[in-house]
Amino acid sequence: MRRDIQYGACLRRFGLGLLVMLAGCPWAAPVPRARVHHGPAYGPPLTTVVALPVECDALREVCTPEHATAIAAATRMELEFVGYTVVDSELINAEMRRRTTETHEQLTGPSVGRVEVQPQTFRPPSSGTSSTTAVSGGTTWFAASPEQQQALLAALGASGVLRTTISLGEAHGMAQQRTVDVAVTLTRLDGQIAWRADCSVETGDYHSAEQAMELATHCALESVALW
Amino acid sequence: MVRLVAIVLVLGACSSVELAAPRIRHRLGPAAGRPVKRLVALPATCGTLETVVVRQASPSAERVPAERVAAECSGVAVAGIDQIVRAAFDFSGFEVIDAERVNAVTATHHEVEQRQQSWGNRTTTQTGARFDDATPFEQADILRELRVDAVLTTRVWVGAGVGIGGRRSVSVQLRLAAASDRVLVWAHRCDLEVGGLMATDDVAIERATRCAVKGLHPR
Repeated sequence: MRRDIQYGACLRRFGLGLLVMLAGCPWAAPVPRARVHHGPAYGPPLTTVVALPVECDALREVCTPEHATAIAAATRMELEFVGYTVVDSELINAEMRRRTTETHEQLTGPSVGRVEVQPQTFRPPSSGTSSTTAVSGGTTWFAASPEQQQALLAALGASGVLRTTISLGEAHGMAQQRTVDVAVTLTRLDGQIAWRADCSVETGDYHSAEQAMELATHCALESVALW
Repeated sequence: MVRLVAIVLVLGACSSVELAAPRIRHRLGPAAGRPVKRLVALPATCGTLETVVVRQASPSAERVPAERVAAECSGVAVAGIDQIVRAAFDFSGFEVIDAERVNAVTATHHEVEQRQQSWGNRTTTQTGARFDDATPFEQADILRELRVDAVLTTRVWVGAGVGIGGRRSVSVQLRLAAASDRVLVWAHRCDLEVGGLMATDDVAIERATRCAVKGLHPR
């Protein structure tokens, strides 16, 4: 009987201690805060900008090319909506490329002889078609010389370059949380910064790495969109 | 087991109860007053922060733990978006030219057909360059040659899933820019939230695209 009472008291103390500990825990995620910096070239509005691919300073398994593509989509979409003309640098060709499509068809049914007269409209029945496309030649924006890049920028009417960077800090704490920082920088063609906006969000207890990236991107861009 | 399935279904359905209402936004650009009749539609671009669970095949019979990896937009879904958007523009009275069907140079076509009685095979090789293979200078020439007024771009974004139902936001943005100087004519955007067991990325993207094209007015 006495042992039961002691056990109950111990349990109550433990419960109280746990309650006090939990009460001390921060239940709400810290509010992400954006930092905005106006550079020396801030002033006359930039309308057409070339967006470079998103860079990620993190381990390959934490920040993947898919993440970079997603952040690029979010950033470019937001800036386009507030009035910028954003040109994707990945889609700029410095020299025309060629594509070769090879299609293999297995034909069944009776032979129809020569069909060159109307090759597009009259075909013998086929079964099993496979097709492969190979792109060859050409030069991308990244492989072009600085002179070529300048000429392309002029042709596109671009007056600025957009850079987006994702940084993930080292894992720390019991939850192995990381600090995700997304920075968006717009520079003029001479390299001077027009503006820079960044925002940090913690992963771990509150967000997955992907959620943190999403929040940090929106947080950084909201400050841009509000201008 | 049945209880577990029921609980999962209920929880999955719960996550869609408080989804935010679709938010449609429209922005007119400096070129809003210019007449637009004929346009070139570029292929949609898409990015997603969704993750998928994959289980690597193990050569031994050992059970390998599942791993979450970043997903990417499916090519089929992106092609579907293009179809929905272009069909809506067509129906609204625009003359839509698919960029994928515009040749930058005349293509060469080589076809070899081999037959043995009633069966055989045919190999077709086509070499050329399309609109998106051309340089900006060549693209500008092509646009002038086609006498198009505007270029249509579509961007799609899928956010990271939250909770058991994978609640996430999806955005689709249509942007019409003048062909001559790329100045914005208008941009139309729909942001919506999806969630629940049945809301796959493809379904979410389709819903957002249909929402984004709703605001197109017949011409």
